[in-house]
Amino acid sequence: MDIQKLWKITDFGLTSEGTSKVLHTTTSARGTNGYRAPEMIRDSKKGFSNKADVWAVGCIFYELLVGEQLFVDDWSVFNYLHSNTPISIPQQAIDRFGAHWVGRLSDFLQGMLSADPQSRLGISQVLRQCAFHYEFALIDHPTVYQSYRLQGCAYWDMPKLVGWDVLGVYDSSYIRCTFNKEQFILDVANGFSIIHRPPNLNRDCMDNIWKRRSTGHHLFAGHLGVRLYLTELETRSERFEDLTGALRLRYFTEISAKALSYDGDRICWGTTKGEVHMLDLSSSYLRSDWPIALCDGEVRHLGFHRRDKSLLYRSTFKNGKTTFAVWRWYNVIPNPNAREFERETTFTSWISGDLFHPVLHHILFCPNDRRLEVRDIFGEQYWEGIHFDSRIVTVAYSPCGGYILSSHMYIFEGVHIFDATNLRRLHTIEDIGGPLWFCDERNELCLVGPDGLKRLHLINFKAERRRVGFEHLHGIAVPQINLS
Amino acid sequence: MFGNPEGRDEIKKSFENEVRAISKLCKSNSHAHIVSVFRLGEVKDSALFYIDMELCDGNLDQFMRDRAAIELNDVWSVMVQITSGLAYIHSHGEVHRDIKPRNGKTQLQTYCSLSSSIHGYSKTLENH
Repeated sequence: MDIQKLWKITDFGLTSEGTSKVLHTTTSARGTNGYRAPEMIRDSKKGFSNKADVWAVGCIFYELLVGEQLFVDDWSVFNYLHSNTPISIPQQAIDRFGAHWVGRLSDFLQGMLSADPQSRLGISQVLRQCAFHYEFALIDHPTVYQSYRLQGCAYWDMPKLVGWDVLGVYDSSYIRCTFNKEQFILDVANGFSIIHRPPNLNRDCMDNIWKRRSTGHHLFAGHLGVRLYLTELETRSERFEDLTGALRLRYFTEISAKALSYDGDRICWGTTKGEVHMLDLSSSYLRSDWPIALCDGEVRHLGFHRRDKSLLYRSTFKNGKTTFAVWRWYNVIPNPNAREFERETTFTSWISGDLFHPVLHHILFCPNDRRLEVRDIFGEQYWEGIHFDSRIVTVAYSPCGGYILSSHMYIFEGVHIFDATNLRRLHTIEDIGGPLWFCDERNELCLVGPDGLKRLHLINFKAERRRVGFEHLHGIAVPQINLS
Repeated sequence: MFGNPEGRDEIKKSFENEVRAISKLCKSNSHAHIVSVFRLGEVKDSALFYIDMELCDGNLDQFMRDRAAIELNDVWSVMVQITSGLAYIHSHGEVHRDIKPRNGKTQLQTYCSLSSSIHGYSKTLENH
């Protein structure tokens, strides 16, 4: 691998300035035959933008892949533009890289070689895509790499996010973040492009995003006061188009902050009045007019149990000065073992995260922000808790339930990884803190952050491997996200 | 850069353009993927201009011709480097306009520590 080769751009004889009046648009077209963008050939008076450089990069990209020059001269550029056929990568190159690359490479190529400079990719998008693949190529874990690429959803690890606040990472494809109190959904797989800028919604909205099992569409859900917003994101052939789905508004009584869950077919939520509702999406958005269950107090947590096809929720109520927490099952498919149990707790702060074990009958329990306990849902088994000196930001079960991760900040910044069955600490990754999200169903990768430096870290917690931002990667600088 | 006296003005215009871009973008070590320029000048009473820059050996064109097939990892590596240099240029409001494989100069890491100041100068004169 020619990693020690440093490539540099030289020859600035033709470089031109984009003045403020004609931003990034200059005249006097020249450039080199074969690498010249169509707008440079076609209309030299009209001027062209910095997208002309992207065209040239696209030509070089093809040449690197295939080993032959894409366009020998201006004529072949015209032929390409008039033929209206997309550029195909020759079979021998495909054989070399593997068939799973075909779609991705030709899409990327097409994006750079778009005839219309407006719709051509910007240089920072190109950079991010390349950097993404390059970074992944360095991970010595081919199976993870493969599975990610095949799914078309990319994980990833973001460069410095100055001024950004990351609110959530969903389904490893989207990052929700705020900037200047405005909210954005970024598509990770497509070079962190902004796919959605919800109008007039405050940050309490859009708390959740799920993938619909039946259609593969993405579903945003949030609540603003008394409403549940559902927004469907249409997907087309692995590439995420913009948010074209209709915004569906539904009216419900006060939904509790953390009590909203989705199992691929059904949405369930609890209300402050102690009702539990269910909405079955598979039967064309039928609304449940009646609560499926009633509790004594506010429903505070709610989650689906994967194995039992049942719903677990926790409600709280006050009796004098004492607060009670009651855990209950609701059986989507009747479960004879289910029963209620109560536990008295005083609530100081509640840790966000998945508190229910997805497969076993366990609950991850945080009586306060420095203590972690695991207990059996039926109240029969109980494990000794762990006490920490530092504050827990998030605790979570890994997607398959084999591990517990706790992320800490203040005093100690880091992530502890435990064996979920016996609470034995497996290892600790230091210097990273903040909320954490799981990136894959394979139980291996998780995204933590932003830390104090506003970086996101992708960690492979099984292999104790950790990936950090680009600033450590062969001195390659990555510009920040441009919000224009 | 060099030329004959007749075309001096044209060359000078082009050179000045290059000087303008270089002084903005190529201050030594301004970016890892943009060539560093140490000195710029004009030899008195002649049509001779010089750019004193770090030594680069080889170019992308040669690199591609030397190899039958380039590994995908290398492709991404080259692409990241070129585009990150370009992103830097664009972020300064400039358009390169002449990106081609012969422009992407390669430089072996070992040369990085060498101060190629004198070397660059003499090379320019040799060309003349």
